[in-house]
Amino acid sequence: MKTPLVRATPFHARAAAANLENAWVLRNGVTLASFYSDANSEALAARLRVAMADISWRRRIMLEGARAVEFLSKLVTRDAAKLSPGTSFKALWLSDGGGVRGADAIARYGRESFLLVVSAPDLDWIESSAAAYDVKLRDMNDEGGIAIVGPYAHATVEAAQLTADLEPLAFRKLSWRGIDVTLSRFGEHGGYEIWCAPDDGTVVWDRIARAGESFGLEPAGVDAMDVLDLEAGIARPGLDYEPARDGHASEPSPVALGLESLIDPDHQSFNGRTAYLAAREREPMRLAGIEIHSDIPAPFTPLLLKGRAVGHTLCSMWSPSLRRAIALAQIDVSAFAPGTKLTLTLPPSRAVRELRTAEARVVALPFLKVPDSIAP
Amino acid sequence: MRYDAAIIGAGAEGLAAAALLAGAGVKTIVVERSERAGGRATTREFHPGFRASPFADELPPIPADIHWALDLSRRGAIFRPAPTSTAIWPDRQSLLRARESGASSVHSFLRNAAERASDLRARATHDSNRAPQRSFFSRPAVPASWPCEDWMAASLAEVLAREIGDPDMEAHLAAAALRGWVADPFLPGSALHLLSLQRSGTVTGGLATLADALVSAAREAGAEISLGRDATDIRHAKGRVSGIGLADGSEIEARAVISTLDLKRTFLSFFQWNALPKEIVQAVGAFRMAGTTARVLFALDTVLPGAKRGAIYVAPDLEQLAAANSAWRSGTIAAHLPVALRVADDPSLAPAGSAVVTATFGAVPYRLFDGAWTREKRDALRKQALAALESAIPGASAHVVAAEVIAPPDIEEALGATDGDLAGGEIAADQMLSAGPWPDFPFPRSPFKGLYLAGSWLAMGATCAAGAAVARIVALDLAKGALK
Amino acid sequence: MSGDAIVVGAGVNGLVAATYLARAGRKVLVLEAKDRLGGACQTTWFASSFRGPAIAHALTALDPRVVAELKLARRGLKFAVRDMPLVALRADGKHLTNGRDLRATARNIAVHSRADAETWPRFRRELFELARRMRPLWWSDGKSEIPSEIARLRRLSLAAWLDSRFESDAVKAALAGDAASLSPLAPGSSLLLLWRAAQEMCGLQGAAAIPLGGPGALVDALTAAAKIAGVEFRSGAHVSDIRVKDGAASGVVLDSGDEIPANVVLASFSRAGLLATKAGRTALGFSESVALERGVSPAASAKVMLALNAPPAFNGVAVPLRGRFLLADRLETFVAAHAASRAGRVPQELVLEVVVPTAGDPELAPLGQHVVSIRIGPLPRHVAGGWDAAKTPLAAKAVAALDRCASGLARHVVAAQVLTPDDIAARYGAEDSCAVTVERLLSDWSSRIRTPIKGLFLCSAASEPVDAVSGRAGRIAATLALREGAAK
Repeated sequence: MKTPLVRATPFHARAAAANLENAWVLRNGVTLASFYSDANSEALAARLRVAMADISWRRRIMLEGARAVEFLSKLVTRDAAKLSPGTSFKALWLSDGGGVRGADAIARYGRESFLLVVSAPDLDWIESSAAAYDVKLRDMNDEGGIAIVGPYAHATVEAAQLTADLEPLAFRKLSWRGIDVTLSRFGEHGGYEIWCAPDDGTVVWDRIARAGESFGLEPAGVDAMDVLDLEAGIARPGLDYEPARDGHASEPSPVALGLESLIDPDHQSFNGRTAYLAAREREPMRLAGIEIHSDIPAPFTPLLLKGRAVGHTLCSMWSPSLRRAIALAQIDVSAFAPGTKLTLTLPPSRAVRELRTAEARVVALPFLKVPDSIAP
Repeated sequence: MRYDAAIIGAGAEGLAAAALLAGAGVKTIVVERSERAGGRATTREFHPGFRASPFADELPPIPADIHWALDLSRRGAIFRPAPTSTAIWPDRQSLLRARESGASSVHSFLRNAAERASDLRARATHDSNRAPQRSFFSRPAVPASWPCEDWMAASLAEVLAREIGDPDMEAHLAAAALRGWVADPFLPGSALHLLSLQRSGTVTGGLATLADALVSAAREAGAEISLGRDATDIRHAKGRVSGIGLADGSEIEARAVISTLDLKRTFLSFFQWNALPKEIVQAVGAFRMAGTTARVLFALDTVLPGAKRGAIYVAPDLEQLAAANSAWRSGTIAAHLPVALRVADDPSLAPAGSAVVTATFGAVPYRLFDGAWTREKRDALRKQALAALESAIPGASAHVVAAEVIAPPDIEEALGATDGDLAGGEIAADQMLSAGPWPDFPFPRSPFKGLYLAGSWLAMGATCAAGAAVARIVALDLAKGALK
Repeated sequence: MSGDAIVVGAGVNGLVAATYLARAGRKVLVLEAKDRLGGACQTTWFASSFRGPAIAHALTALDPRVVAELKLARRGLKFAVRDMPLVALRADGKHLTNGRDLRATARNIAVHSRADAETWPRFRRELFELARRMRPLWWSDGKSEIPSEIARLRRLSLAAWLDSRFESDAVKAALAGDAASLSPLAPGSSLLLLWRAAQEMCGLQGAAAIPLGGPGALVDALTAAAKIAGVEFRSGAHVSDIRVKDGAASGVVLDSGDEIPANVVLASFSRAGLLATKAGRTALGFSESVALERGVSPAASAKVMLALNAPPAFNGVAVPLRGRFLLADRLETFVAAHAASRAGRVPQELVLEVVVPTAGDPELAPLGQHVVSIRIGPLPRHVAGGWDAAKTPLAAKAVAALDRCASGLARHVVAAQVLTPDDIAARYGAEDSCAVTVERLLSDWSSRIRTPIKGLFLCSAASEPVDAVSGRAGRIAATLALREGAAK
């Protein structure tokens, strides 16, 4: 796949203007605002009012070909044949040994064309696997994407005169006052996504900003969106865990990542199924959420139960909505029941110059349940 | 005089080890046969007014922590990463930098190779500071697994084809990986040469500046550097070393002896063969050296303003590399040796209005099947280098006023490197993906108590790294009282 | 579990598998695409009144358990020669005969190097002992424990190993002859020599033997054993696909369109061959499919069979005619041959393995006349200009090389048959072979025999660590099939 190495999103000009501390971060080769004013307030805005985030870093690949359905049936863990055009589902794709390579949305555009949304780059593997089925990959990475998230997301979208009668997981191509956009509801946070051509980025940003003004819309940076994702309890490939990159890798396993809900037990022909079924009995780790009554622990900090190591943290953040530090963790099946009390060690910080132990409590995921939509 | 540590060889590794050991309070002496310290970090006047480094134009990078620890910048050794290299064919050209239209970024591939190389070194020296980063899904690793094992079964051509997908760039990278070395790029195991794709660099003022900076660091730390003294044997009794004997009859007593010469030379020159235990004799005998490098230094009476900076590979071709390997194995000089040219970009190396050009050959055998390195043979190398120069920079060969050929035996004589092997041993899976020939004594240790070997392939990817690793271990052993 | 079983392909492995399944009570049907059974293991009439081994001319790896358990001796398997010494033919007449008597061999070696002669008995003992320790990896059907030496051996090239022990080209070349499928410079090629030394024929470790009547006699014995066990055969039946239901094999589909139900299928496909079927394409993982498609092309070989009207007379020291003859001068000959084959060229110096089957089995030719079987390899699978054009020069080169060691041989040739890699693929379907790699040598059985489809097992030559007639893959496939078999 041919892509330039570093690029700015179509919204860069507007994002730069709003980025008060010039804080940028690189994700998937794209420059994004880390935060605009303050990550915590942006995360709260997304929970209490409405926020808009630049999600152009999610790579979108169009798969087209007469045998696209056949290829996708084998690629992902749910049956693509059952997807009707205009809808999507979330699924995993595994390597030959049953290790998770990716977990994202698959949308059906037509009889022979599908959109694959990929958070962590795995395009070489998908491309070489698709070659045998004569399926062509088309990179849609020039497009820009905005996510509108929050209880007033629907209201904002209506105010922007985008017809918003879309079911969750559906999408539609629209002409919006002279520009072509795709409106969708793939996200986990009960909001909408708008995808547009690169030249229309500033127009889209301006229209949404204006429409959401009366609802208190704020632009949210990557940090704030990461907090939202963490509160939703979803481990993301490439960010929260290292996806399998070796063709025969059996780790990470879907069981250990809490992703089994994305596997349809009736779908028999996906890549790596035999290995996954064989391995799941033996997998001792499970994904769990922990709340820490102290500072944020470092990634991969061991978790101890009565002095015995039973797991480790993955990513952790301060959740302004819950007002405590939360983390995703992988814990042995014997110790991951909600309510279990564990201990961990926190590294020295500028404030406290020594190692400290802290208590953590296992909680059920998701940390925060988001209602589908709240009409104003 | 009694010392805690005696180091044989004042090359970059020996000097770095001396500086670090002395800095840790260890009474250290370095003995060096020649009158100048530096080993291959040296610059020599090969023609009145013209200077060049005889053995290599560039050195692998010095790890940052050693750079800071020895304060090399303050001592005048400013390490400049080499410019991107160029490959020239008669009708086209390729530059070793990320190509937007390539299937994958060359830069990320090179970075990946450099990371693997450092993982491999860390594993070989059990360096816990630089332990390989594990993905957090790793279960306790199977002990036998080494970094780069997949490259052991793969060929250079195959890995490049998979990662790069552009035949010109693949040939360019293959030539860069094999600069000065030799391998059949289609044979499994040749992928290990990717480990030498480092961002090497030069030092302003020539490589000798680095040597001077290291000498200054070592002396300032309190180490004694004794030049012009030839070590002839390592004294030992009952399986442990007690010091070094020198050519002038004197003796240096030391609790630890560090040899920066390669494995073969260390044991063959400094010990009586019949006094060595059988497993050492067998291992040393079976250890394979591969002298492959030759250099030609040219003095030109004109500047070459349009010439590309950095290494220039002349018409690299995978089949040609394979043919050169066959020729090398049979002890002949191939008609088209792989060659890399470099126009020196340091103005201090040549008088105003002149230039120095160096040529580095790989696949040059140490032992020729038909006998010695005669003047004719050296001349053949000079002619090949001249032809390469002419094809890379048309018209340049007419301006050559002097040339010096450095063949593998010359390297052996100057550096004490067995067979002229600059890597310290053949780059093969069994010699590299292992911590040395004695499983109970991983590098840099040896079956002799108190004898440490710093002249292995570990130095190949990073200058001063082997010396630093040895210094760390020797200091530890001395502190633990293991060498009473 | 009971149910029908189908074995696709009546090569040695297929016959072995079918017999084991039938003896355990299954109803077994063997489907063979060609009209005759035996696959690549045949004795053919290559000239009028001369018979010779079509491809494999000496057996080195026949599994002793198969011979014993299937009672092949009672079914007619006899051996013409039981323990063939290896004879490394040298241009200067100082041929090196390497036989079971260590001291006699050492005396032979002393002609080339005294030091090597002293090393030989120790080396041979160590080699065989190490090889025996590696056997569980290659012979057992369960999860085998990998011996600790593996870590070192998988990195060690054969050239490095031999160079460290021996000094004479003669000895090194003779040993490398048993590991000719890999370049001696490849890391891990030392494992190939160990594999060869781990095999057992006629109760002798590392031996090579010739069945009485040629390789075809082995097939006859196996067929007899199969028929006695109740196996049914159908020839001229080419299987084009496997039927899969709910992730388990439910039968096979023939070219004719007929479908035959079965819930256990043992197929003589390699994994690449499985990929060619629709069922395989769906079941095999993406990474494996891509790797198979990109796969290393196997080194190929050619066969020349000569009919002589007089026994071959070798110059120089006396050599036993019942030996296995190797023509390769030095280790470099093997290195250069592999490099040339990889580049698609016929090597300048050919590596030849020669056998005179009539030395132990006079019935293969008229009285006083002889058959000489020559195997040339490594060779490129495809040459520029095509093998048809290169056929005659290749044969001439091989015969000339042999003639240099046995002058006059060329004059006694009355008939010859040359099989190029193209011919071998076309006639014996050996297209499906798989490159020998160190990975394959170290992989365990289940990764080569099991498939993602329940009830489908592979038992081709590619399922063995090295392409050789052994029957082990068939035996293990049958064992796995009986143990795990089909869905309820």
